[in-house]
Amino acid sequence: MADVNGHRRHDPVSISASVDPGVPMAPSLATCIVCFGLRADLLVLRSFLPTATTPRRRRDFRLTIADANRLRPRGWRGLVAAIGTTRDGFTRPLAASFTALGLAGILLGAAPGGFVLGTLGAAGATPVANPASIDAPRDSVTVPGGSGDLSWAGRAAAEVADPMDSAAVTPYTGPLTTLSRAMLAVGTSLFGVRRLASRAGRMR
Amino acid sequence: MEGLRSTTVSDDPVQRRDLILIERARAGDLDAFNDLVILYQDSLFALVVRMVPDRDQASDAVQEAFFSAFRNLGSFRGGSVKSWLNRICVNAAMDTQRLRKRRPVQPYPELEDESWQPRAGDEVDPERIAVHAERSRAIAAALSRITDDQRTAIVLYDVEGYDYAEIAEMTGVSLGTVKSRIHRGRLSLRDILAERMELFRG
Repeated sequence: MADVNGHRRHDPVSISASVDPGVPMAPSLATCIVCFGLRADLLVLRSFLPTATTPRRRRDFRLTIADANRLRPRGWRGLVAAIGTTRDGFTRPLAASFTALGLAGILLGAAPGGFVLGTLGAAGATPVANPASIDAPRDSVTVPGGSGDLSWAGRAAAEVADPMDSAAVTPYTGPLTTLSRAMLAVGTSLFGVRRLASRAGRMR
Repeated sequence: MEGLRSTTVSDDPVQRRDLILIERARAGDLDAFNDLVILYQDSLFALVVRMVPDRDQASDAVQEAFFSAFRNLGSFRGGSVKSWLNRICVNAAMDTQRLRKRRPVQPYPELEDESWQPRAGDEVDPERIAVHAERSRAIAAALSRITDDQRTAIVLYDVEGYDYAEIAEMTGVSLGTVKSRIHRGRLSLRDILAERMELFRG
């Protein structure tokens, strides 16, 4: 008669594992007839599983032309649909480049030396109007560094234009900073578009 | 076949054929992709319906898997096309299992013999066919009663022949968890079938 009480101390998981090829037999198999019977049943089920028949499919899974056009649209629709998917090898590096360049430009512009770069890059650009020059007579204002009238207005304008005099300087929005901000905006927008497109694709 | 590994292409005619079809499908040939569908839809449906014991939901999962395969043809990097399709189907089946947890349905009911796929090499003896069909229904019913995780692990290991590491990678769990699911799943199956084991022992 099987020792059921003794069998309760045996680990059934190790019996189940011993069904796999190459796995050593559990010690209880040599002494416990219940374990032996359990293993035999598990072997029978395991060997039958791959041969079991399954319900027959009722549907034909071939794709129609409409399916194909929806899943892999051609032309510009295909380009748009590819954004954010594994087929998109373009927008991610583009977004990263714009963002990196934008950040770099902004940081350069914000640094003390960078301000100089910003102003140098603004050669020929119109400076932001400053109160000192607005009221001065037109003919008495001179561009810093140029020869010309040294009336008090001109001297004031020259002083104000000193880039190192931060207390009197109006923040200078040079093209570098503007361009950098624009690139950062484009880059982060592209990342946003990719994210939205990826979510929309998953819902399709 | 640029862009694809060519390790054993020349040795295996089946693999060679599949790779040619994939390449043509990538180039826009829908018929080539549908040829792959014809070749593998039976085996893939059998895989999924074992994992998702509801025929309609299994059909939806297989259809979705083929849609996904077509949409992501560019992600195929060589190797076995069947394995690639298998993995897509397993993912689709697991997605369906997650949905089923939120909206449970009855597993497939008792089915007439004609609705089950005949296996190649079946006996012509009607009695043996009837016994085999009865065993199949019993095991299918038992599989539908164990947990999704255990069922997936048993189907992938005992039926499809994947090893522990492959199953761990496909299901996103550790090796130990895979082993535990397989071994405990087998024990659960056996417990459910305890009173019908004579059907299998005979």
